[in-house]
Amino acid sequence: MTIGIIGANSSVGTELCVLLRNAGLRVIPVVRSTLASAPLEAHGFDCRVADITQKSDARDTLADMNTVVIAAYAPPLPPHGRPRQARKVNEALVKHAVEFSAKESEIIYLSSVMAFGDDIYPDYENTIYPQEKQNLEEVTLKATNKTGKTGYALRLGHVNGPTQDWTRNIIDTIEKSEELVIQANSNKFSNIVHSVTIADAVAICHKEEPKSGKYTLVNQPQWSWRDVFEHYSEDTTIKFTNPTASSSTSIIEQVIDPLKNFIESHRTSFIPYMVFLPEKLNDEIIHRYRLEEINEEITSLNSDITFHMHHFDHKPAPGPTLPKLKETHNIIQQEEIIKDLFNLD
Amino acid sequence: MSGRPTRFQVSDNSKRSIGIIGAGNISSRIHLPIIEHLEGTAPTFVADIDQGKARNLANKYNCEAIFLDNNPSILPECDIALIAIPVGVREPYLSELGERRTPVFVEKPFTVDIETHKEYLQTLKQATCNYMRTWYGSTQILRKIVETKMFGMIEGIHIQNGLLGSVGVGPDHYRNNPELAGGGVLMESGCHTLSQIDYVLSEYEINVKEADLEWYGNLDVALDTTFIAGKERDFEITYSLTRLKPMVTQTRFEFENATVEVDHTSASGSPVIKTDDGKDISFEHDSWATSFEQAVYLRWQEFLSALDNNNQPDIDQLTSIRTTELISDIYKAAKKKRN
Repeated sequence: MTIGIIGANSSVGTELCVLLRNAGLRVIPVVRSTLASAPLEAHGFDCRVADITQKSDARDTLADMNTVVIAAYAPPLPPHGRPRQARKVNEALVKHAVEFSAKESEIIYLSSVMAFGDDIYPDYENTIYPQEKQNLEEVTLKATNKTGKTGYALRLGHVNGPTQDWTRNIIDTIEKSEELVIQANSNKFSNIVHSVTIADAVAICHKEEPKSGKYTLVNQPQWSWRDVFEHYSEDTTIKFTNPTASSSTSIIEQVIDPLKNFIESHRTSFIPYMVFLPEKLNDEIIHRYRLEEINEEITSLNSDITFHMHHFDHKPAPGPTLPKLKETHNIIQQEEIIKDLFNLD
Repeated sequence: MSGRPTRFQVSDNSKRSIGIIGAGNISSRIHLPIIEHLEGTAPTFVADIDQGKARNLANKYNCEAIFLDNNPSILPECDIALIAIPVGVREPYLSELGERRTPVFVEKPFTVDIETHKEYLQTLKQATCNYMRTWYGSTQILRKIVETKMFGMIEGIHIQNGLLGSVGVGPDHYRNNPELAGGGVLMESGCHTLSQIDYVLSEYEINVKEADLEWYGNLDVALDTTFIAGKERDFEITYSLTRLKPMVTQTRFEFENATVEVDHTSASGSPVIKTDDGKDISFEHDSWATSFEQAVYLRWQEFLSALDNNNQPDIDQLTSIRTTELISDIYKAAKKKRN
């Protein structure tokens, strides 16, 4: 049984290749160029060099693959891409993977929690990315449904792993200081997914064939921001400074959040109108602002080094999740195989 | 205190519940927003004699609202209680919490007189008082200067504080009533300054030499007092506090080799140091409070660290028993007494 990974030289694809091979699965990396195959070949992989957007290449390359993971993505925006062209390329990758893979194969499209859009990322500026990911999920599921194959759109959280830039950024920030203040809610779910859990998910789709569909793929169970930073800190004291999230979903709360965003951007002109607002609404607005003022005061007090990423503001991604995923903290040590292979600390 | 409070350690997945007694401004605008930022804590109830206030504030923090009807036994259990009600009505609650062995964070002043203060310390397991000015950068710097004797011995201290102007309270506010407030300007404002003196001169003996109070009805509205302080040698501390006339607010420490002046009421105030040989020196810091809110946050951190790291925190120091003693002594020594 063979797993093909299209875009195997991507940061996620590379780690997947190593982890799945380590799990005893037969992995075939598929890349577009000889150059792209070099690092994988150097570590013992037999790559197939093919342009899957071309039917002939796809036919020759994918015919024996029982599971195809699509880890490739053509960016739709300059400087690397153009929207229409990128959509064509991305759709072709998916459609050809479905058409030319082995009979009754599983097609796994690596989507993103960004596909949830405003539901979890209210201020995300790159609105084309969620749109394109949603489109490719639909293309995957429609195409697999038509051909009787099993299709999965896995909405990956923020990918962490030994070779991921995101992870290195966190580790470097932590290592710079004895005490690090994180401007985040320590208990909030982070939407992080370690590559070991992605590999686990691919293996489950490959072996267990759960029902087709869209699944959220984050660490199991979800790691809080405290879990994430304490995982990477050895000697650094980690502190958090942000109010715990309210779980209230009152009508006032539902009005306040968009109103607050509006007020923030129109503060000077809005404040005079507060004299006309109902007292309860004013009370809530003032309460929210007071929490933020206090947050700023305490943050500036604790500013040995204060670390913030926009990901801290995102809401936890909803499910469903794949069944039978292993707990991430029980399999995280598998990362050592990646570190050993690439001589990382 | 030898530096910033150490990081408050909590066991994984545990939170200390904090019961809020008093739903007034100090709880709603200061303590509860700060508690939201304290790791390992969460408010569990808000109690007040005003049901509406209690409910309104409790709703904002997703906790229970309790209507206080002078029956402190109805208070739910909690790990720490914040006492933010007038000093004149605290006794039943402090007694109840003392019996329950619940640590208490008490708004200033801690109590009305030294005898009551000592009684409370017998019954309370752990307590602190919100003398947050001890965390002001200027207070910390003054303490360092005194401890290290970097400008020599202290020769004298002069403190003055004018509070002429808007008081910001309505006719029914507890501060109009000495039975509720415990006193006037000395209890309300002077306690902070005295807590700073207690903190900076922690190694010194301080006694009231003489005191003069001005009264408006039963509220003291102005104070002139002189203390004698001493360690290796004695010196005088003069303290003038008034609501009756304008006065520049300032503390001046006279050392053998320099003078240090600061507005001790301002969190962001920086000491101005002039040495005898004409040099100006400034201190910068980034560890202590430069705002009221930061100072209260540090006071909470200090208490939580003390609870977590030390089974017997120094309750005399945390509640600043000497501040209460000095206030009591000033009232006793005053030439004019309350009616």
